[in-house]
Amino acid sequence: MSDVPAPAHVVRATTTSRVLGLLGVLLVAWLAFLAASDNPATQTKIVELCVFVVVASMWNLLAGYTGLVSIGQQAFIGLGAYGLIVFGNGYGQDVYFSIVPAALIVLIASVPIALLAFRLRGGYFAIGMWVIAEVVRLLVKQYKDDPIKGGSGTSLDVPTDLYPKAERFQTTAFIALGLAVLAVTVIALLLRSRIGLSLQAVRDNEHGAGGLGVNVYRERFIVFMIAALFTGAAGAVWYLLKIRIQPDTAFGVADWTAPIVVMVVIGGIGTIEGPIIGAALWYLVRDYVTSTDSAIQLSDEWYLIVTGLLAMVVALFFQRGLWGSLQRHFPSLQVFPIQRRLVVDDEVGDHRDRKRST
Amino acid sequence: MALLEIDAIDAFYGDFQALFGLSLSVDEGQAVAVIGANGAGKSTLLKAVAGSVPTRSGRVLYDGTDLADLPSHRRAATGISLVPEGRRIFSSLSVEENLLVGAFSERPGPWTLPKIYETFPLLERLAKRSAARLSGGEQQALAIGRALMNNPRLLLLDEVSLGLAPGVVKSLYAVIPIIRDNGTTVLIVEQDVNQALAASDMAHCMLEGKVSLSGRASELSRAAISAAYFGSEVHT
Amino acid sequence: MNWIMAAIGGVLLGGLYALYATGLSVSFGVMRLINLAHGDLAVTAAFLSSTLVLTAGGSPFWTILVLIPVGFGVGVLLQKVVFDRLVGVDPALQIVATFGLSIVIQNALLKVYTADRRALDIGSLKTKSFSIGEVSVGAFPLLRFVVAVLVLVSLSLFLGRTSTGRAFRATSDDPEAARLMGINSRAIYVIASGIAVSTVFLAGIFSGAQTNFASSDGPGLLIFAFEAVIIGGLGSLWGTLAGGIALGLAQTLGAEQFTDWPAQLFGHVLFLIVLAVRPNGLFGRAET
Repeated sequence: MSDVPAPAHVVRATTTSRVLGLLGVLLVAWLAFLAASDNPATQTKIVELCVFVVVASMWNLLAGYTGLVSIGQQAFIGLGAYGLIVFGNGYGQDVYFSIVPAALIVLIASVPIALLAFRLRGGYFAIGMWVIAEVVRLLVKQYKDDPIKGGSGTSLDVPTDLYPKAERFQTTAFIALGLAVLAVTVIALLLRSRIGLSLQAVRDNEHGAGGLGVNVYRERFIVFMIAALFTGAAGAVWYLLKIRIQPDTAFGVADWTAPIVVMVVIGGIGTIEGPIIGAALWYLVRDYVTSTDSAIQLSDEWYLIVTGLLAMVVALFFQRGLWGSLQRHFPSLQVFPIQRRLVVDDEVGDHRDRKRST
Repeated sequence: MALLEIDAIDAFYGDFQALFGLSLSVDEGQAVAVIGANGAGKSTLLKAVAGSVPTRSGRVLYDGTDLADLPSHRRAATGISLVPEGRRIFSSLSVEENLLVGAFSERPGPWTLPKIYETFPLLERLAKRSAARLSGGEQQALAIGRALMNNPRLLLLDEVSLGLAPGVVKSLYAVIPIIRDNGTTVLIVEQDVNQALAASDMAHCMLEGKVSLSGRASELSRAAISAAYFGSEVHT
Repeated sequence: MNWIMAAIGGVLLGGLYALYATGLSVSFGVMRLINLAHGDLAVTAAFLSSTLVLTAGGSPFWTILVLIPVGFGVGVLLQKVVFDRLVGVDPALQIVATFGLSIVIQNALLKVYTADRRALDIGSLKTKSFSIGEVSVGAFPLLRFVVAVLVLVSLSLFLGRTSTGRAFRATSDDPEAARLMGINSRAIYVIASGIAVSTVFLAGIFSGAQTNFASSDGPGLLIFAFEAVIIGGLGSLWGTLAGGIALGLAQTLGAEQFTDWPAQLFGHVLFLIVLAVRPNGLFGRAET
């Protein structure tokens, strides 16, 4: 049997991905320009959007690439937020700098959490993570002394002589934007790395890649820790803007993981672009339907009912989500060239046909 | 008249095509062997008849009716029983419970629990044991007994000999004449050519999803079989 | 004496948790499906019961007779519309779809019933108790426990002794092989979901008669049910009862010892300990 492979070469970037990449850079530049303006409402929106881009991208990294579907990400949000309170209020550190130790604390906390939660699989892992988040929430509520102040919550200490409000909003918007860019870059690089490639191999064929000697546990552990680190940092950034914190909302599944799941699924799970698009859509649509002068107006309950239904419909019928469906029709559509595409220079037909014709 | 008439079927697993316009017929009362190398599509053929794998074109006629729209559980109720590759015993059930599940469709016929125990005395001894704790040969006997509890008109046997000691295989094949005497038509898929030919009237050899050779089991020459078995590689 | 009372209370509470967990256990056992809206369905039942009592009068107990078949119907409907598409798919999709369902149910309840807490009034039965020496046992918690055990006994007889029950277990082991035996696995899934929702409806009504409830309570109940299943061990109904009792005991004994700590924390801690020490649960089958 003569089975000479056709000449082929491996490519990553395509013309489309370069164009889209340029658009992405322009988008970030535009957001930076907006962040530099003196409009607290715009700056608030940038922070909210960027925080959700980070946490949604990290949830997608776990759920879409490693099969770790967690509904306990609010544990890391809350820990990051309270880390900010501890270092800012408790130790009197600079509030901006406090994001760093707060995120590192979350990174350390993610190790015992992973050791426990990794004993569960699939849906049970999901709820197990939720229980762990609940334990953290209850423990935080139980700590009634300074600087946590238990269930009634507390406020980040930002005296206006040290942190003028306009400056704090602007700085926070830049930090949030920077964190979002860093998070997405880290994810793109990670997925191109050996870790990312073996994780995707495992996702596509759990037994196959396991049989090839891929150490799935270690890779998952590393990815879980990275997701915790960034999710914790995002939680700290959120409360740098919001100031007022309570355990029930900082660790609230309805405040965090519920919207995250909806964003990622609608945008397209298992794609880098999906969570970004999902988060942007979430805020655009929500702004539209809750503003008083738009044609469609929805109360919060109706908005959540509609988004819940949308998540169901997408999960049941359009499992690729928006970006995934677009990619299916236009395979070259990739902002982040993480896939190596094999381009066959001489398109005779598929491999099997050639084999059969001999 | 043919009990089973397979007419130019294509079958796929996802994008992978396993059967290419395969045709084959089995007369009522016959035992027919399908032999071929690993990956030739033999198991797919049985799954297509039992309804576990969908066919995209062609027809599967059973007793004159097209099975196309019949899901696999309804096919079992019409008297098609498959002893699947790998035995697929219900491991959390006892041996006896496995047999009772086999009778789920409650088809009338000669095969009852006492008759299964008479034919496979070892199953009676193991009746209360958890099926997970059986040896490979015991599991295979149970898989055949479980299929017989459906009182099949057409019994499909997939790789009965796989992974079993020659003595065990021999004792399992010894049951096939009894099954035939009770009115069941048998379609045997095997890699073990000698065993399959000895038990059958007709034989078909499969290669790359098609039938490459057909004839009476007793009249096929070794050379013809091995050419059909290994395909074009023999010639090139 | 307080310890004995707390222990009895914990065991009786465990019966309720086992009833919550039964449906989760059945759904997972038969079709490897986890329904994150499980707790929200319980809360829905409590609200429906209160609506029925408000419109037709009487005690909440008669509503059980109506709502159990309604629950079965809801389960059948959910199976046909939603869950059927989730059997055997990536767990991520199961989680997303049922999480979406949970968000929908919670907000629909919030819209219809507002955020106020409600209670089901069972009259004097709520305060009635038996005294054995110095120990007193609440009549309603005892009744609830007995009903929970009866449900588990009948379910295990159904699974163990009937032809359909065998078909359930065969489908759970290997759905494709079960279909080859003539078992319609999709019909089995429909029954499983019917049982899951009707038992959680019953649990929701019993729970609503003891403590008041609100539209946002579902996730908390889901977590209790989940903990009972994992503590007891997957794949065993009696394990689920034992898990429920262990969870109830951890909560009441923990709260007895540390009075200013929330009771559910001790349940969570027990769950994490079991996860760390015996990941297959107290009575679970070892993983194969």
